[in-house]
Amino acid sequence: MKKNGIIILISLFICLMILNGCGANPQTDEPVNLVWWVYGRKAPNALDEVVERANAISADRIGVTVEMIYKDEEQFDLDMATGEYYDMTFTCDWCNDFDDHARDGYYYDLTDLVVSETPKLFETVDPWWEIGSLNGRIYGVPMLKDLAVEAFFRMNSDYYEGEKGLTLPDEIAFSELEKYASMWKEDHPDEYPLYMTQKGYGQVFQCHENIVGEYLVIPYRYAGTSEGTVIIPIWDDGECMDMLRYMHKWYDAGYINPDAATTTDIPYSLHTPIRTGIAWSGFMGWSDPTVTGFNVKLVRFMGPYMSRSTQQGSLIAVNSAVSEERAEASLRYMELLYTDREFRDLLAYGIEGKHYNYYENTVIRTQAGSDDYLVDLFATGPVISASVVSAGEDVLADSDQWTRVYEGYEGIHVSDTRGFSFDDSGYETQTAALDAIWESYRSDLLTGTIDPDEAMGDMRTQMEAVGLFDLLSEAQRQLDSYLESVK
Amino acid sequence: MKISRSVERILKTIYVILGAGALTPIILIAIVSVSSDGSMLSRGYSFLPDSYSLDAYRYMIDHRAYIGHSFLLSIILTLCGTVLSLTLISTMAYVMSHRDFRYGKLYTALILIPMFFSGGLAATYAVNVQLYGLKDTFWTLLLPEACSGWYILVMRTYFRQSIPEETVGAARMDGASTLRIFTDIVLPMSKPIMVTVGLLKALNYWNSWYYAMLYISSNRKDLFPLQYVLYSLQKDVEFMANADAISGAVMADPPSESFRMAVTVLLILPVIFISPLFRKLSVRVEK
Amino acid sequence: MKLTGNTSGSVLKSRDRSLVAISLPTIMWYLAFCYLPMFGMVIAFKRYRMVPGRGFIYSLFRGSEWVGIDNFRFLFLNPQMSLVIRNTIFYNLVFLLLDIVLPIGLSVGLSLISSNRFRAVSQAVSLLPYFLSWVVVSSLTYAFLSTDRGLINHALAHIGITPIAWYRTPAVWPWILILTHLWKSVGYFMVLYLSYISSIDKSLYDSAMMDGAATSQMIRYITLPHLKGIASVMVILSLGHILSTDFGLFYQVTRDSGSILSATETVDVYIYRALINNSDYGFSAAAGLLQNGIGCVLLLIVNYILNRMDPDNGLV
Repeated sequence: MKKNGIIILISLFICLMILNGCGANPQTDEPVNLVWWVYGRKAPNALDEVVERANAISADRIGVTVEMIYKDEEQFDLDMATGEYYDMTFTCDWCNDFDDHARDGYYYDLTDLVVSETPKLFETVDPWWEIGSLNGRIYGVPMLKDLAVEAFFRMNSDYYEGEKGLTLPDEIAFSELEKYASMWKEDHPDEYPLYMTQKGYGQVFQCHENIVGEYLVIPYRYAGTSEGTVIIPIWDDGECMDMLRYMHKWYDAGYINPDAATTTDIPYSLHTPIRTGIAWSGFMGWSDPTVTGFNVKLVRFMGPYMSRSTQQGSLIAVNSAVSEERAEASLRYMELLYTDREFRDLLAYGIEGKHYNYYENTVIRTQAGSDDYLVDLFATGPVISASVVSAGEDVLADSDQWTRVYEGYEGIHVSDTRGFSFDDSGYETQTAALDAIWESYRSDLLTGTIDPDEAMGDMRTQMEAVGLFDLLSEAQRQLDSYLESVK
Repeated sequence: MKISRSVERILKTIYVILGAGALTPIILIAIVSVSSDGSMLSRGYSFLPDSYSLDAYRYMIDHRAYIGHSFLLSIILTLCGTVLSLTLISTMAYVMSHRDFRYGKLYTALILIPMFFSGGLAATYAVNVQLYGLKDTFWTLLLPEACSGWYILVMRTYFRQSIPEETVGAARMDGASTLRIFTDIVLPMSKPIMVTVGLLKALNYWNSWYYAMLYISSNRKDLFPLQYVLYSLQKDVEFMANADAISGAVMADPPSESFRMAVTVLLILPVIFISPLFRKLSVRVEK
Repeated sequence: MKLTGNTSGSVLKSRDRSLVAISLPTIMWYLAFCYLPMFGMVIAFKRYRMVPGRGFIYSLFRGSEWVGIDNFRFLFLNPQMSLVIRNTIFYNLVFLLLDIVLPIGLSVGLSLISSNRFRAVSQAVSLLPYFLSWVVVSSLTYAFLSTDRGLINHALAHIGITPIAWYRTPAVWPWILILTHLWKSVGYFMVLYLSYISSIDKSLYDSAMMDGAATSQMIRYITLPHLKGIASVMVILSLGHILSTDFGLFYQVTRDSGSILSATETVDVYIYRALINNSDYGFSAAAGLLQNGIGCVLLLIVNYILNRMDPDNGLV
């Protein structure tokens, strides 16, 4: 019978698939092969080639190979929740949340192992272990990069310095941008000097430490004063509100594209004279005239500010379910990433001579490198142990910029919350409802589309109805008792 | 049924106007796909761009290994999927079309419940990946959407209305087996609905990207259907707008609007094959 | 219990056995892909925590604590919830009505046209918009509605009307959303109804013509009754989904614009916004359960009423 045949086929098929699901274990005398979850929208084309080469080196040196799996935020959530297997994973403040997962026991307690097994790694990361610690135990290895938030305007220096004969300062106040925007608008009445997408000038919401969502905050400028540990709703942060008011003014003046709140992309070919971004002093990655069409000078308007969330830009954690042997292997791999520049550059930039070349101690990408191996620097390991990127031979970066960046961190505004992170268990309902309210105003606020005073007024009424102030006092209570405990 | 010439003329005019309405935005897509980037930047979408360019298609030809592969995969997926779902849907619909079938109510409940309740994203994902091992396989694109309660109901209703019970009864008297009745009598009498459901299901497969997004890893480009390639391009745009402001993230231009629209044009192309199908369908019915 | 069945009874029994056999592949598909994962519904009543090193099932049943109906609460904390529900029901009822009236009218009309080619081309063209994903549709509507580069505002400027910021004007959005929905889906339903129309026995029309019936009478007494069955299936199913909306239409096409939310926010959009920073699977499962549970009750009621009116109309 035909039908019976089909039934048998399908049953066989399902059995096969079930069998398929149980993978075989790797043999023990081979190098340890680690599954490594890496952050990235998609895997670069040359991934296999690069990893193969990296594996040959690491197998030889430390007896470890890796399988890199690229994931975006949603995929991280799903695979983490369903208990998919991994050895090492990318984790940070804004994706695959480090504090939450460490608190829930997802990550391996590395406190003793890192000292006994990889003392060199321990030494290199010192004194920054606090970043990957929770309640005094180490659950993640910080992949050191810029640790403070510094916001910049990325300005067309060909126009402002070349054509207009100005000298762009290293630092300006947010309000001073008006001068530059109006100058461009006069010369190009049909264009929008502050063209932006619906993400807007997101840096505005980083002028304070975000405690709950983006709406309960502590301004950095209060650090060291009695208000440095007092949580306030965002509309009580005058500095932030002033920036939003300026943006609304600029929107009305026609400096910002009228559809900013619904615009999804902003191509470089648009030649927007002013963009914003978060970087560090000396960063040259945005100054590539072949992409932007002009030379760019960074002008800082905010920061540097430092807090737990700005420090937690990138960490690697180890699955708490793996054997001690695999945890050790993971640590050895991270040690290699920290201590061997050539190996680190391989994962960061691809194969030398093919994807990039060294020039004056910095890295310059080739066309093949830009096409086939363009990955986020922070995703594949510590940024400070990789060579520095220059945009081209004419746009050289300082090869020793990290020393200077870290020197610059001495004496800056560091939040008084001392590594506190809010534990929202039991309050998820309120935060979900508050997030929904916040999200419906966020784009409009950050693009200057609406009047911030009016919008914040509406938002306040809605948020109070959901119980914002209960949440605020709970957060304050948690913060106070945390500060008491670390005294 | 006959209608007067003047009425027919009025009707035709209405359909031409509506057809133009359906078609205009699609023509716009085609025009955007051959507009130059410069024109897009200065004028936005426009029926009369400042300048034309075939860059998007040239880019597509340069990447023909990837795009062509996806196109082919989509075609194979659509063919396999349509055959599979028609088999699953029509057999079930045929069974349920018997009003006196002993388990009729049970079967209706069986197909209705999943239209409203599901195990949710996490459970479905866990079952498909951990139990069936569907991650990164062709099957994951094919199987999870093979059946549909909605089309079973559409077809069941059709069978009930259009297959005379006497014909079936007579065949049964002649000793034809139940399966025989289905394949030799019911199916030949149901061509319109088979073609229609087959077509709509084929469109489903052709347009699907969701399962690829969930179950195909980003380094398995060989398993990307064309619609997912488009989805992925759109995601790139969103992602790059985000990453643009983060240092250390990569700096590159998002895929151009004209390229995305060129892929859309490629996706719409199969409609050329559909039109003759409709003609055959209506000719057959006339007889 | 009947020990000796009559002939027709035993024939029926053996027929039913073959019917079960024929349906087996589909039943197995349903068990494998729909029913097996349904255990996951309990996540709506749990605070889910993954247990490292264990699979999802262990984590769900052994590692996560019961929280009763806590996961449902976020739905009711929203001060705008009544507006959101009103929007959802309003759009669904309008869509339900138009999705039946328009495609039936259009397909009946099209079936009257004698040219084969015209009918075929019309169907193919009307189906075209169905090919487009919501993201592409969203780019298209943006092309028409953009404030400074949109085609509509360009046209308005030509006749001297000041440009309108469409994405900030809530009042126009019900119209835009309804139009976009119809544009994309009318062709789909038309094709479905046409396949039903083409199955009508031609001799019915012939004998009606002999009796001197007018075309309008034939439509009324032959064509439309033939579509009643499928139309009532549609009504029942749509009412069952009265609290769910097409996320693509309400989120992508509106381009997530905050200023028009009063007219465009539906239950699914609210859920998305609430869980955007925190993909809590318990919360989303709870929301889905509530949406569909209410829909299901409604479906059973409507089905019961339709069944009472005419047993042929019901679903179950």
